[in-house]
Amino acid sequence: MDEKEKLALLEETFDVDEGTLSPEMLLDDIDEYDSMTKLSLIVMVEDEFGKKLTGAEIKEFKTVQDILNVMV
Amino acid sequence: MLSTISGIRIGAVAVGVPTRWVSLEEQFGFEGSGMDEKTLKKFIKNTGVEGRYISVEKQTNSDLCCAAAEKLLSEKNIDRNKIGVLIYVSQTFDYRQPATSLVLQHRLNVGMDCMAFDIGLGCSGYVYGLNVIGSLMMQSKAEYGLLMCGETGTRDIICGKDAADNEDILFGDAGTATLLVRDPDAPEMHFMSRSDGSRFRALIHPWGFYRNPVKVRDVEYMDGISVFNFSTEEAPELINDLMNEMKTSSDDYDYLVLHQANKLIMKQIAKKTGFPEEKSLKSIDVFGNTSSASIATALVKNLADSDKGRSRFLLSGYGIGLSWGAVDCYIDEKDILPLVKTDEYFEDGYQSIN
Repeated sequence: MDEKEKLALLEETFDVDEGTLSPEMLLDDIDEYDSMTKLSLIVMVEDEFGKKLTGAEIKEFKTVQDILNVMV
Repeated sequence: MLSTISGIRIGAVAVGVPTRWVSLEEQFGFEGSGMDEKTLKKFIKNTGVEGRYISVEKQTNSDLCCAAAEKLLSEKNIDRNKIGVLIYVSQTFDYRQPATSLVLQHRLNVGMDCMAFDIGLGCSGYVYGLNVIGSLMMQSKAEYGLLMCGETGTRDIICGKDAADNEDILFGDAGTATLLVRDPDAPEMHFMSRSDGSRFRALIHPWGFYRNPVKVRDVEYMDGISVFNFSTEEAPELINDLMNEMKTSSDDYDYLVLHQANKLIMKQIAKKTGFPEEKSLKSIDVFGNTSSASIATALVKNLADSDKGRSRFLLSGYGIGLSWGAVDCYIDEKDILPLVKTDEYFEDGYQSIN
């Protein structure tokens, strides 16, 4: 999966419009990145990449790129 | 741990709720939850909760359970002197002391030849209650057992570690009653039960009891992500372990009835246990998450009108404690009674002392 596809998947998970997210964006600046989205993110990463994110890992995410880094 | 109950069947299931049902959108409009409309819509989409029943001021969960039990006992014409075990499973008790089950025994005119006691469990409570009551009936001569479970969840404010959390609108009020009947021809019930007290902090209401008597804040804390990961990992593992022991698969069951935690969690558990979505009964849209009442609310919402006979169920509860369990059992769908609505509450004679 290339970066573009991963971003599209994240946009779907965040429930934001296509092309809204870019790697350098700070998660704190994204209104949609709330507790509900974090649960959807766990589900998406588990379904697509077979790994379970923990609360501690999610806390460490600062930018969109940090999430892209675990999507392998 | 696997355990088996034989010679006992589930004879009736009833659910009691208050008459007032409030949709989340209505509540959002009237009271303002600090949520914008978009966030609320997303909450509804992901959790599946569209609204919930909210009890009147003086109503406690035992009032809802009592109405459900009264309906069930009169409908099935049960001799109340033959109820040998009466258990109330909840975390919202009427009094600090004594156990609420004793008050329910009194209100329901259940005879004295009876073991009545409370169990303090949440979302796993329905399955645990069935297990305990079935075990005690097997060891005794009790003809009937009466299990009452539920919570007035709208009375607790839930505080997530993330300031954006609004989990308190997830919870609703419901009380349930389930009758267990001695029956030599009953198919066996098979339970799988697990507990992990090392994670007691994941969901906790620490104030106002003996460890921390002063109510610093009247809230319950929930580490949402830990609870979510527990629910979507360990509940399916336990269900799969039970099916392995039983040498069954999802094809062998008519229904999967999960604790109605939230839609996302239930979807993940169904997927990981091989159940198609249509076999997984839901009630969270109308009832919200009602803790130990939720499995019975899903039975009543979906099957109360059914005239089908005996079906095979896989029920599973998982949550606070942490505590989780599942049971492989049969219920005659005709024994699932229609929803009981009441705003009545018990005048105990103490309510004027405030």
